[in-house]
This record gives sequence, structure tokens and C-alpha cells, in this order.
Amino acid sequence: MVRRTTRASGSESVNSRWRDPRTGGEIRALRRRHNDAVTPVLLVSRMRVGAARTIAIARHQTRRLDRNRSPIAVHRGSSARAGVQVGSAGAIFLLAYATLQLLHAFGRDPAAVAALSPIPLYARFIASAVLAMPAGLTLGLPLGNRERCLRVMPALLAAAIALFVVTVVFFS
Amino acid sequence: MSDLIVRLIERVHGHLGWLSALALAHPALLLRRPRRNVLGVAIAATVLVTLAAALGALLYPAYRGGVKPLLVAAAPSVGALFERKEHLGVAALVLAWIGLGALALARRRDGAAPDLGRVAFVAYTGAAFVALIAAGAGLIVSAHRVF
Repeated sequence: MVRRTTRASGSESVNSRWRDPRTGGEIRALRRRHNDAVTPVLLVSRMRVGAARTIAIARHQTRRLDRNRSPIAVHRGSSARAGVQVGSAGAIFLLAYATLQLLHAFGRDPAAVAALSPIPLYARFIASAVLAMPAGLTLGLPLGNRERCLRVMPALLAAAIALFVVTVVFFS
Repeated sequence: MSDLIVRLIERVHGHLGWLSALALAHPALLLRRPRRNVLGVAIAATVLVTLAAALGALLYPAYRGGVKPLLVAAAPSVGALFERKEHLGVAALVLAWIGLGALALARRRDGAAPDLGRVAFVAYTGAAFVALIAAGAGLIVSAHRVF
């Protein structure tokens, strides 16, 4: 591969000047002191290098798709982590809402929740959402075995639903 | 809001509530096989329940001020049923969005897709269950008193 040793002037780097077609970089790079003409051999070798680079860039765009479809690749747990976050946020919302409902039934509404809205239903909804979203998002991050957590998530969600329904039916 | 608009919104809310309760049962039934692609059905059901909930939230302050005191005075148990219906409606809305989120993640088709499908199944089943109870309660309440 031919390398150019002259320094780039101003803010241009050596590489950008080397590739800049306005300065004739590609063609000038193929010239030698002993032969001022463009050498076809060097041109072909240069094209080969460029083709190899282009193929690598094109492959990079399809690599993720190939990896997702591959039956033997080891998949990362990004979906599992997001699933744990979504599921746990929902379960925390239901549990927080049920807790606030219980407190309301016993006449012990937290002052911070009551200050959110004059209508208790809206206040409870906002408070539960404000609690559940960051709690669910942060809960999914430090977990070690996310796949296992995701596997128990349906049972956890079902338990939260059952607890919510019982609380609403009997303490409303 | 004028009385006419409030009554119109009330009726639309009631019909949308029943429609969304039935629509939420559709992805719940289809997701018995967790790998099934039911995102379109799930989006439609979630949009319906969100619309119904938005109309209900729009009506609630007027209902709470104008109708609920009369309803509680006339039939306290129906007034309590109305409050329960509101809470169950909130749960249906949240569970539908959880199910939709899990289904959207399951579309990546990686190793977690079956588990995410199961999460979506539980969420939509729960949403359909509480939405059906809420719709039934709404029907009983509207038989007693409307705007």
C-alpha cells in the first residue's frame, strides 16, 4: 500500500488530504519519483484495498440482523433487560396504587400524594406512575440473571393484578 | 362543557368501554401461543382502551361534582361500585400498555421473545378481566343515574 509522507497544511489531517479528490490525492498517491505516470498495478491494488473496506462496512450493517437470526450466536440480554424493566414497572405501579388505596381506605392519605391533585383518583394515578417508572427502570439494570427474572415476571405480574383487584374490591 | 356534549361523551365512553374490554380479550386469547405475532391486534385494543380512559378522565370531574353525590345518596352501594370501576379502569389501561411494551420487545425475535410473549399474555388477560368487570359495573351505574 502506498503511503504519503508530506504533512497536511492547516486544519486538514494527513488522511483527509490523502483521500480528498479535489487535491488529486488518489491519483497523486499512485505516482513515483522515478515514473511520473499512473501505475495500473498500484491502481488495481488500491481498488482491492477499497473494495475490502467497502465490503466490511456493508457487512457491518447486516451483522446485527444476522446475529439476531443466528441459532448458534450467544444473544445479549437487552430485550430481557427491557422486558424486566417494563414488567416490574407495571407490577410496582399496581402495588403502589393498591397501597395508596389501602391508606385512603383507612383515612391516612399521604400529604405529598394529596397535594398532587384535588381529585384523589388522579393523585393516586400520578403518584403511582411517578414511583413506578424510575423504580422499574432502575430495577432492571443491576440484575444478574435477567432471563431468569423475566421468566418469573408473568407470575409476579399476575400476583400484583390479583392483589390490586382484591384491594380495590374490598377496600374501596 | 354543555350538557349535550357531556351526555354525548358519556355515551361514547360507555360504548368504547365495552368495545375495548372485548378488544383486550382478543390479544389475550391469541397469546396463548406466546410466539404469535399479534402486535396489530394489541395496538388496536390498547388504543381503544386509552381512548375510553381518556374520555372517562375527561368526564370524571363533572361526574364527581354533579352525579356522584346524588348517586351515593340514592344508592350507596352503586356509588361505591362506581369508584371500584374507576380503579379497575386505571388497571386495565396500565396493563394494556405493559402488554404492548412486552409485545414490541418480543418482535426482536431473540432468546427472550417467548418470555416476553408470556408477560404480554398475562398483562392482556389481566387487562381484559378488569376491563370486563369495569364495563359491567359501568352498565349497572348508568342504569341508576346518568348525566
